[in-house]
Amino acid sequence: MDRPFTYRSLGVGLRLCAAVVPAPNRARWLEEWRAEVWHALQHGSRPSAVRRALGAPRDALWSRRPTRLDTPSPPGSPRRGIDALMQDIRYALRSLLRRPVFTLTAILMLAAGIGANAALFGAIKHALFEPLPWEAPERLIALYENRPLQEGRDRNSVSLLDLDDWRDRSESFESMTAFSYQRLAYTASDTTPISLVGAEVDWHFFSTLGILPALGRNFTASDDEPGANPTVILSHGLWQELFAGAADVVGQEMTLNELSHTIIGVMPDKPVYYFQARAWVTLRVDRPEVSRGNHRFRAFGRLHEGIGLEAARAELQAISLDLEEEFPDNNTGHYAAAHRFEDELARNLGSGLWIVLGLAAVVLLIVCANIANMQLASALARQREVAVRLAIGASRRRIVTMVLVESGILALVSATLGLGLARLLADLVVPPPAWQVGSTVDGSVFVFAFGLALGTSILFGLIPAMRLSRGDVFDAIRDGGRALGSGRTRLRGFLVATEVALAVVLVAGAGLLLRSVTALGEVELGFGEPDAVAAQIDLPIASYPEPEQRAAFFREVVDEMESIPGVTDAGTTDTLPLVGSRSSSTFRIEGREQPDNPDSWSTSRHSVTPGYTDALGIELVRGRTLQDSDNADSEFVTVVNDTFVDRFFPEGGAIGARISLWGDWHRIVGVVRGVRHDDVRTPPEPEAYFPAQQLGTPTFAWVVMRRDNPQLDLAPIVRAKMADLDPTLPIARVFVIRDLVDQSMRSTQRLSRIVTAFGTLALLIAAMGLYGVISYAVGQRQNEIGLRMALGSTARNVVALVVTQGMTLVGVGLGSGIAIALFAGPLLADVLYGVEPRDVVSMLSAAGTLGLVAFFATLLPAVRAARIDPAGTLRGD
Amino acid sequence: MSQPRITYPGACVLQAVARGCRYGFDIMDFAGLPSGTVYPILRRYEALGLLRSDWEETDNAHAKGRPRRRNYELTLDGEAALQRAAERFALHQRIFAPEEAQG
Repeated sequence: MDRPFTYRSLGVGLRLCAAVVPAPNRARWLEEWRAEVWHALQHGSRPSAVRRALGAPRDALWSRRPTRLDTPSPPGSPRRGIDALMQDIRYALRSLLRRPVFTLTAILMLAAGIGANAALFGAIKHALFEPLPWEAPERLIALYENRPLQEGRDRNSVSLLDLDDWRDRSESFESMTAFSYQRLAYTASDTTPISLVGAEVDWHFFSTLGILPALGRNFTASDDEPGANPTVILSHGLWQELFAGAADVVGQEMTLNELSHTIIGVMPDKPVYYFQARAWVTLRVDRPEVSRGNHRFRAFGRLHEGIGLEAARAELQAISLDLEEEFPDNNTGHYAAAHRFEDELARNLGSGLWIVLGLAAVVLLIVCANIANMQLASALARQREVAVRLAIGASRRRIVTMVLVESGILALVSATLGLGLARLLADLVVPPPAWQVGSTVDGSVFVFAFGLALGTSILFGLIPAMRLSRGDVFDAIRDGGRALGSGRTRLRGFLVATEVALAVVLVAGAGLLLRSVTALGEVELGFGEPDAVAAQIDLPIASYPEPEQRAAFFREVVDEMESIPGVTDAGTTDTLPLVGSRSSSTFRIEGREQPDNPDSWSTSRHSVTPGYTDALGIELVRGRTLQDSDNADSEFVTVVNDTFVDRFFPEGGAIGARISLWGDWHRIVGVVRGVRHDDVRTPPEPEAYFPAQQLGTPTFAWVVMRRDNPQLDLAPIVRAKMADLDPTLPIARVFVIRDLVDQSMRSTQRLSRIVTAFGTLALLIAAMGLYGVISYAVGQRQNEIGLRMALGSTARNVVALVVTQGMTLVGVGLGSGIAIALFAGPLLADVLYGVEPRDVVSMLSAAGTLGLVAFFATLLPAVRAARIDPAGTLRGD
Repeated sequence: MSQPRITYPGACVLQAVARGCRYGFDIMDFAGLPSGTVYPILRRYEALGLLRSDWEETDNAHAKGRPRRRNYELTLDGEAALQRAAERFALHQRIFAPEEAQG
């Protein structure tokens, strides 16, 4: 009928295909296909003819390929190995694409594991193992002046005069330098001043670091002399920002703190010291005017080549002893301390990073165990296929290679994804310290991630590969895959128990940290107004040379702030809580003998105006707070905290007693609650609050304001008021005290967040693994369960049977997990607060959580098992 | 020295030709393989010298009012290759034979 039509239509199609065929063969190609199609239409059905004709395009395409002499290379030749590998890769890709759920899950889990590990590796390597970016950093030594007999901190600031003596007398050091951070108010013509983080340095600073200006010159001794023309060296960033990188900037003037400074140099675009200052000015200190007891400088030095740290320490100790003899008033009990820069860094980073890296490794292990588990499960489905491959002559090695290639591909894809993730995580998990420039994800992290991928792929690929290649071919084929079952279930059970154990460790760690965060949140900070607002006042000494001027200005500021509607109290202080910078002084108590070691009587001192304690909500325990009437003309007074009283007046009688810091006697008129000044973890030290007017008003202060409404945004109002009072002052930093609390808790919170995330991930993965194994086991025991039910077992019995099997695995995992957690808990001791590293509640709740999740993970397959139709399974057998 | 590698479908095609299937579509029917697989194999094996092809007499075909067909047969090399393949795939046949019998 219409066969000629079909033939004609197919003919058109064939002619189109023929266009692809190389010209010399085209005519014969077309002729052959037309003959076959014609024949098929004559002797067969139309659809079958059409179906056959559909192969023509493929044949046409193939005809373009040059015929390879498709001969196998001799055994052992590299070509043969490559051929086999290519084949394995093609095969593995196909096989992975056929199992999209498995592939995607495995890749996502692995990417998360590898990404987290790579990010942390990058951060740690960058922070600890990368050489510091300065010349011969191993010779750079941080210097402190400690009072070892005094309780408290062991890294105290240095007195400038002591440092001068160390420098002059020491033979071990090539140079030493002192510096301190200072806010610099930069005023360009007719603009509001900008506040910059700067540093006051002596002229040795850059030469000691071993880094010189890229443009212009370094400081010289004459720049640092008292009365010298003020000079400044700019950071690369500030140079770009303010002068758009103009080459002729050297020699120009800029106004800093109301003094005209000559720009003499610009630093290169790399980190200068740990804390990145934006501009450096010289100290220009007149030595005779400075007190030896003024410890306000940071210091470091550079050792001569070949001098060891211990030798330098011994020498500094000898010098300190000499100074102690020469200056008994100021230097009794003061000793120089020296630490390598590298060690200081490692110390500052603390153990947090290592802990997180350890935990990330545990997560990766769990991921590996789980993927191995999934591979084993899918091996069931592939048993037959593998058996066929073995049957037609594939070697065991070939099968192992095949599975390993597959896990290798998984790992490589995951590593690529993981590296992307690591880039995102790098900044999130561990914000790079200020001196680091650039990303922490570099070439070595790349190598690390792929190395890790390779390692993990072997780890999770080898077990299934070995298993798979060992099965008995014919049994496997006849049994439809049940032959390898029991051994594999045992192995999978072991893997799941391992997952559960590791997950318990992580969840327990998360529990410990969460309890620490809770404990930190409940810490009595010593002040009741975390919603108070603080604004910074930084008076240039040039405009306010006299303490009285400053005191008058502070009074004005407090009055102005208190006039803001919604502000109930305001006061100034030279130290804020939780910031960790406070000055301590030794003191005497009237009518008592000084202790043998005067440093043991030491207190933090705060110079405040009367409203401060009320503004911050520091509770008055006894007596009265400071008042406006406590001025330079009235009796000198002080308010101390309860820690002070407990330590120095354990028998009472504090109120009315007099103490002296530098000659003036201050009567204690009140006792307030201790405030945590260092950080949330450190309990209050003895403190004494002095009226600013009686102590000599500083140039730098914070004004603290108590709001009656926490929603009230004070920042713009405060800035406007300050500008009214003195338009030349830099824009004030304004923030809520709560920020300081948050900041102080941040590292613990961040750690607990990371660990909780890891713990949750571990929990989910372990639950998935458990679910998989139990489902598999139920599948294996289908006949047995069917038989049991046929013999009268109830659904409840079946559920109990399966759940028991699952929970036995879980029990083993929980037991070993808790054992590991008890053993590993003390590793967290450094970062915990208010909770024992072997805290029973955390351990048990971790085990409980995991047990509960595991129970549901086994319950699902158990319920499914109970729905097995006994008749059906028995028939099937 | 080196011998062409025979894949499983290749062995099926050789077997089909050995059993007397001479034309492309017949070979497909016998081997149970689609045309897109069979034809490229035919072309490759012909180039490798395992098969050779001939064309039907033009007059004969045109007399019957149809295009002439191309027929294939095994060369000596092809027979040897089939022999080797049969040994190699013997186990394979054992595995599948019962199922085919059942089916």
